Amino acid sequence: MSDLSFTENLTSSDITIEGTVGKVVAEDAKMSMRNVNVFYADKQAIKNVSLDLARNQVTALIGPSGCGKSTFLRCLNRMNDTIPICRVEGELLLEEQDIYAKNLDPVLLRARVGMVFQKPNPFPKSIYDNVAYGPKIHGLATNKAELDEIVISSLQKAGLFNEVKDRLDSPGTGLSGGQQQRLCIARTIAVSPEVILMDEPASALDPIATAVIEELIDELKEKYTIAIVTHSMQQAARVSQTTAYFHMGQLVEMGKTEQIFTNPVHTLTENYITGRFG
Amino acid sequence: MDNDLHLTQHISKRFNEELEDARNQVMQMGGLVEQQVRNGLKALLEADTELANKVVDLDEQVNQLEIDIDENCTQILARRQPAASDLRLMISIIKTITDLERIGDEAVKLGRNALKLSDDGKNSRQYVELRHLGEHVITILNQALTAYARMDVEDALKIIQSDRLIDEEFDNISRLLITKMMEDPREIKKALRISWCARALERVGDHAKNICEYIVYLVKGKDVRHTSIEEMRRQIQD
Repeated sequence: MSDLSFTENLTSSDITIEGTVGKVVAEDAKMSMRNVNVFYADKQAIKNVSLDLARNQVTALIGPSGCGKSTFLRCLNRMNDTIPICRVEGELLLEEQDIYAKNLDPVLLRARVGMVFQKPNPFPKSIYDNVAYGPKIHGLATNKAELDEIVISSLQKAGLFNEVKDRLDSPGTGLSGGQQQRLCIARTIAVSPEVILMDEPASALDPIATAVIEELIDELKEKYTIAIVTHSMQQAARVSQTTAYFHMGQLVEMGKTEQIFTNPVHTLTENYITGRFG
Repeated sequence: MDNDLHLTQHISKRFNEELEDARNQVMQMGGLVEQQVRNGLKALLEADTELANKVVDLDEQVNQLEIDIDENCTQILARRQPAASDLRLMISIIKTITDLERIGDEAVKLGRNALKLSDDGKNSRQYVELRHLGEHVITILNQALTAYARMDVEDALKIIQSDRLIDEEFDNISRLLITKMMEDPREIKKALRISWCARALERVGDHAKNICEYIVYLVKGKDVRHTSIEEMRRQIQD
């Protein structure tokens, strides 16, 4: 059991959740969330969730539709601020810094905590401009040469450069789905984030493009801390070091991925990953 | 997690059936090799050549079951990508049937040696110790298969513990045979055959013990191979 105490219990069928089982505290945490509650108007979407994102690791958030995993992910770079009825409570820290502090600019936060979405969403601009956009608005380059370097190195890190180097002026929307997604990853990397949040980044891609993205995630974790929401259990098993299982707004179990997929502690986790009735 | 692995509670009914089928096939194979060992011992002790031939012939069926079960498990792994307890069930089945097949091979050794002894005009009737060892081994094998069917970790641990007694009985028989050989060198050929049979029975006990270790892995998710019984109990209680 974690050393955090939870008071709220929730019953699904005949199985009770009592707090979170497993280890939610990381020894070297990049982000630390404690007692997070999220409400959409009166409806509570996240109930008292506490977890850490370990530095330079991939943490997978899994769970059935509507369990709150995407909502939780979106709290981590304040994407939920854009929803007027959404209210976030609790402590959310990035390197000891409160990301919901009043004096903190969410735009700057989102440069530090980048996000990749389910559907590739390149801007209707050239490949070059897609990647250059962030560095430009954040003033990360003082001249064209610096900007070129950022664009090229970001495309390289995203594993896309060799495929697009001869057509950087072509529209980003003309790329294949997998390439577009890597373009979005390059765009995220271009502003030198510390954390990358991925919300089902490969669910719209074919198995080959998915494998390329997963390989990329594995390489990216050397430099960045990554949290990924995925519906594919195999994907969570392949790419992550830590897995967190959400159920009806609560964090049921968190632990090493190798343990969660071979010997989960909580029956709800077991039921979900083996495809049993929960 | 409780001992009941809820094999029939998957959303996919077909998957439920596949897992049930695989498990039932293991039971069937277990039943066959148990019968094989039982008959092997009987053929040996009663110098029954007809039964000994049956034991040898049954091996083909056991081998075929091993191949069929392996194929089924391969299909399940490829198509279903099982996880957690389902994955452990697959691994435990694949490992269990390897041990069952080897138990079958040991039974064949009993049968072949029974035939050889009979050819030489000898039998092993006077070896009460061999009967004791054989009956003990068959009991343990039967208990191991029952524990597998019930996924009973507590019984599995008891069986693992009792394997030590089989090893002791085997040592006793070996000492007895050495004495006989020293007393009368004409007995050496026969005594060696009896010794090989005792060895085969002792190996059956080892395989039964292995199966019990897979039961612990299946139910508790703990790999207790190559550890002491105390360590096993400690791990299970964690």
